[in-house]
Amino acid sequence: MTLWKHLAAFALATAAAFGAHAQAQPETIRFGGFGQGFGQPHGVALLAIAQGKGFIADEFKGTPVKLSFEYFTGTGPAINEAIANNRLDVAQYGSLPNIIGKAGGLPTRILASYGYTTVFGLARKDLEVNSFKDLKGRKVAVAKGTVLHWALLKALQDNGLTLRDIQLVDLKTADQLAALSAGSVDAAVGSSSLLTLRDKGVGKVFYSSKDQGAKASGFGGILVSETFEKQYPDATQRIANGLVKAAHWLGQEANRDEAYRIWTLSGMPYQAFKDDYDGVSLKDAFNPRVDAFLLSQYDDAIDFTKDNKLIRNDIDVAKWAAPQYVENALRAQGLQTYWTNRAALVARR
Amino acid sequence: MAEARIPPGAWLPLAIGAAWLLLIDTGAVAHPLMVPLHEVLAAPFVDEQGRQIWSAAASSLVRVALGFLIGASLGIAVGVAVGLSRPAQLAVAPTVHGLRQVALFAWIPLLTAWFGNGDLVKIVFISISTFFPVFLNTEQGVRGIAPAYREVAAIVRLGPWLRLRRLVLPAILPAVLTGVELALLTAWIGTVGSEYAIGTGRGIGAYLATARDVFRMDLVLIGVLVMALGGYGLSRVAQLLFLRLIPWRTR
Amino acid sequence: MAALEHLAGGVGASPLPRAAAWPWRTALPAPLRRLLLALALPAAIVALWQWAAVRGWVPPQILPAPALVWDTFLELARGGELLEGFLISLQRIGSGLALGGPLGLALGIWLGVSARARSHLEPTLRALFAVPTLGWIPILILIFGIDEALKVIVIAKAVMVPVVLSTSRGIRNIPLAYLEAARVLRLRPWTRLTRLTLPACLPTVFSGFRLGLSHAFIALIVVEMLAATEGIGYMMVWGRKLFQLDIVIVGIVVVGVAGCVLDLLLRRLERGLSRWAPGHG
Repeated sequence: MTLWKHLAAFALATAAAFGAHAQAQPETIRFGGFGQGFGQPHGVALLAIAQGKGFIADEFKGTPVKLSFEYFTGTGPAINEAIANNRLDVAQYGSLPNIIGKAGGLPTRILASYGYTTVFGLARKDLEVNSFKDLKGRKVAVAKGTVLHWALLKALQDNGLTLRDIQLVDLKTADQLAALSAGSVDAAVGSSSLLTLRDKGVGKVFYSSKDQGAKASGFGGILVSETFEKQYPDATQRIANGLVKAAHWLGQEANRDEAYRIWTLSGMPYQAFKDDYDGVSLKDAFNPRVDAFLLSQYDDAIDFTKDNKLIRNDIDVAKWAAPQYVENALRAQGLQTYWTNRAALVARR
Repeated sequence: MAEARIPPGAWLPLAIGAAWLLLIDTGAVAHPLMVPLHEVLAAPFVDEQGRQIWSAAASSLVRVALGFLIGASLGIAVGVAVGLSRPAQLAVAPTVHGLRQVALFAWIPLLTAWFGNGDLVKIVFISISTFFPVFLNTEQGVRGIAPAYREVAAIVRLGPWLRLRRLVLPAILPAVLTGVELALLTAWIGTVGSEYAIGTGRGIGAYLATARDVFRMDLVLIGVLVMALGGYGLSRVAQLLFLRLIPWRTR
Repeated sequence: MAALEHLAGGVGASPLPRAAAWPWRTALPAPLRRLLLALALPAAIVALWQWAAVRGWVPPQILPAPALVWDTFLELARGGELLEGFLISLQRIGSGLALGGPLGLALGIWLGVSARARSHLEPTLRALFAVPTLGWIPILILIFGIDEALKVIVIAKAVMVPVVLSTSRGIRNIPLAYLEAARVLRLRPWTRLTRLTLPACLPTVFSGFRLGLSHAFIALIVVEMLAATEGIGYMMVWGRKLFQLDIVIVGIVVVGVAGCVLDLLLRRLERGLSRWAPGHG
């Protein structure tokens, strides 16, 4: 009798231990992303929807896991530093800082795409600049080392120009606005933050990546730290589930207005989101899949950073990507055909 | 005689204010920087984002107080210790002088990597800004204690602890307070500077940076005004405090 | 002498001769001893740094190893970026000095000489001077743009503040006896200015310039880090963006060394000047 009792107890204990290990969850999951100032713990793009509509929180209902969200200004460096210091588990930020961090040895994995952001070109009102071709020989401001820098190059290439045909000035958004209005630079290429100058009558928009679509827009990833992913694969899957739910929610046109309203919590004006996304299919823009298309864009961006001496080491994109979590979520939610699998833009390396 | 009622120092600011009202409030001159005066002054009370200046100012004050206390205490402690020991002076002073030459702002990229982007790094930066003036003045004060006093203490065989309390500390009080007064202003500049450069969280510097990001020049002007007022207020408080502590000191 | 030195040793000085307490003291000459002691702390810091890097206490992106920093320094020096940035920064300080120095001097003289000017202008000037460089930058950018003019003006303002204050103070502190002598001698205003006023306040004015130069250096770093596209300050901000802290550390060392050299030069100059024109306080 005692032998069976012992065996049963041992079996139970093992099952419990195994079950507990498989269910091992972190105490807190720390999310970070790029954001606006005025101290709001709210952001934009896919993560903000997943947070604002509670999609990720729902995945962890019934568990003691706490979620924290922090949105940084001066994003790229700040987020890379936070990941290096082990202060962030999941981060939503632009592709260039993703690449800079990874090339610098930061252990991250690409979990999902956070969406596409429109890139605008704004020129001083009094100048004869109506398209990219008119930029030849002019002083153009862009935040170097960001995806906007890459987008500028793409747009130049599409118009038969190179970075050498313009005078590039490295300025961040606030300084771009000031320099444009003071006349120090002729044009700037950046996000919808530039549009305040249009509203104030100082500048005019001569380019919007909406016409080109995803291939010329700002892009980036929701990255998870490798240590977190290895330690808590279940939690990582749940996060992906929440992100896919959010993307699916965004795909429905009826939710567009609510999405804008959630994003205005970040401190950016409602009009900015209308300028960004009106006329754009939110379903296509927020395709979360880490597919051949996204990876080919990352390849392209990596080549760009190497050419511009922004990184010292190469990156194996195939190993960097972790597409399985999003794919699992799609299967689980029956959404495999909701987004088409996009082919690579250019041949993969 | 009526002219005597307006102090001469007020003429220039009043003239500028009048010119501003005349040219800008009426719309005669348009420039992004020139925001109508009444809008600038009203913003902290009526504008939603303008109202945030109050909590920003409060955050900055709390930070400067914390950072200042830490930096000043360390500065006094290390200053006394180094000032009393000749070998320590020779070992520590050159390094500190060398580090002091590095413009404080240059540390920020390194500090954000080590301490993150939150309140900790700003307090560290403020403490460092405070440390240097306090340390240098304290150390100088200790070294300047008249040899006669030291002789008396040695002859009377005053124990180390009593020597510290009864001789060193009172003797260096003026020097320390000079350092503290200077450090207060440095700490304030360090507070606003680190907030501006790092940009996250609440504070006058972050407020200024965000206002620039959304191109609200009226908020920028308010931020600069509050920054100046804060510095002025702190130095006045310090002056009044020291007047009571060491009334015999002449400026 | 020996007794005083003995007491200056500090708390708990022993009655024994010092040489017995520090046997190696007599073995090495004093200047060498001082040098070794001065180098002890920095050497210890670098050693700790190397140990931390080797043991991996901190991620390498957060604290690059000393060897990497050295390599980066060589790379930047050889590639010319360091020299380029340094020269640009130097040029900026020079221009700022050339603009702010004479302006500050003229304004300071005017304020020192004319009580009327003082009472009208001083409060406004003090208020303006109280705003640190950081506060000026957003406003000046809108007026002057983001070009060299901005940086030169920011540095000029940083120089002006101590120059104006100390020049005006120096002139006001000229002993009454001198002014009376000038009146008795019936000196013309210009002669009085050049032969009496200026030489008498020279030490104070010079210490104002010295302070101005150190403020200019700090303003240079601030404006380069916040609103520039080249220079040593920009190099450090760029290094942070690229997540290559070794570049940042190289920048810090260069800034520190430059600051030390500047400070040394100024102190030598001041000593030389005080020997030539004994101060009047």
